[in-house]
Amino acid sequence: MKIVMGDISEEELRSLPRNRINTRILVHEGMRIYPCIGCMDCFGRRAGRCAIRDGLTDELDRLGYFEELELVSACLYGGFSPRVKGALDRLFAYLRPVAEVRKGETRFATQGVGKIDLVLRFYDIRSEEERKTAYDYAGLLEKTLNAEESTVLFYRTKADLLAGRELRGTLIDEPSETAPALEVPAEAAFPETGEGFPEALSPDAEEVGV
Amino acid sequence: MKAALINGSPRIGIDYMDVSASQTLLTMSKRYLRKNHVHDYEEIHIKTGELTEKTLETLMGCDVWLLAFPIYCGGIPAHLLRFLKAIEEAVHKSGSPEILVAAMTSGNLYEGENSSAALSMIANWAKAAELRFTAGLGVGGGPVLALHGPYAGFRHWRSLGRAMSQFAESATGNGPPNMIFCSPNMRRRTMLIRLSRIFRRKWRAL
Repeated sequence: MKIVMGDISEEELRSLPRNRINTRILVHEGMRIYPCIGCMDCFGRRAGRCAIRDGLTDELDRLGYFEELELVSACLYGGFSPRVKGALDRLFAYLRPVAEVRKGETRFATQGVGKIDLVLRFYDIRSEEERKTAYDYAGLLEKTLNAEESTVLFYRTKADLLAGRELRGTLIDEPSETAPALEVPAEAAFPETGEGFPEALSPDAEEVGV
Repeated sequence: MKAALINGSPRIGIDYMDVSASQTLLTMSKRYLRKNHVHDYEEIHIKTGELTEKTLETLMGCDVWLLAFPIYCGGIPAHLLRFLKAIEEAVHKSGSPEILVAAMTSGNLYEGENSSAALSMIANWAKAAELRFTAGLGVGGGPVLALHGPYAGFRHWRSLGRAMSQFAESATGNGPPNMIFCSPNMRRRTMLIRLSRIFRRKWRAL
């Protein structure tokens, strides 16, 4: 089974690839998610269950074994949006994490489920730095959740996400049909006279043999 | 200089087992900030992620914002993300103030490097809000640190003392921008044993 958590509507989540059969939409736009309060009851008295009683806990209590986790979120500073992150923090308790040393690093081992596959879809990418941070964060999340395989996909806007137009190059190389073109600031443009060039790059500079 | 010590942990500290490592780190940092000419503090606790006018006014009156928060699933907690988003919108409305931003993270099991992604997110937020990100500090051994109390520079927290002094220099603009990660000065196995003791105490506590 696959579970999907996203900050867009349920119909839009269902329209994404491979989300029609054997898929449970756990979190969508319009659901009220209380963030984790750090009580650590999930590590203690109520091992494997969250102490906060809301709609999400009822869904998580009924959750059984799942093999794939998909997270669909706007890219906020290189991470998830508050709704998706809050749901992920609460879901973590149900994975029954136990600290262990793995490949020389201290990590959580998840006992509640076996090894899962992770799919992350980020949309509304604003800059290359955020994209790089999101990529690094995805690698860290794969280790934290003890995922067997992870796929990270980037989309420039929500419309690109729903149309399936994945961002394969950089934001500047691939202008999107739905987003306005990025404006390159005037200072970055090469001046005609060669002013502002470092000496080595000036067209009039003599070639120096190495 | 005036600093805003922002505690991003949702814990409110009811009893001795409920102490947050973020609050411990902020208490430790005061000693190192004093050496860098920061003598005035405003302490703010972000429990629910709401930004009130009073909080915004307090923050805008400070020169340095020092954020301390735990790492949840390798990233920033959800309530703090909401707060940061609100701050970004508020700062854009009021103009671009000259404020230095630094962040400290706890909650890592042992290695402080696990918070590199979260600190990069704070740097991206500072850039988006047109603030100046100066320093990041990732501290390992979060839950144990909370119970040990503010003993930076001694015994198991010697590296933390050195890291804190470099961090305070960079955070106040007296040193170059820096990302520092540190782990406790004890063996990994010892750390895991102490962690399991904490979780067992949590199990028995009512």
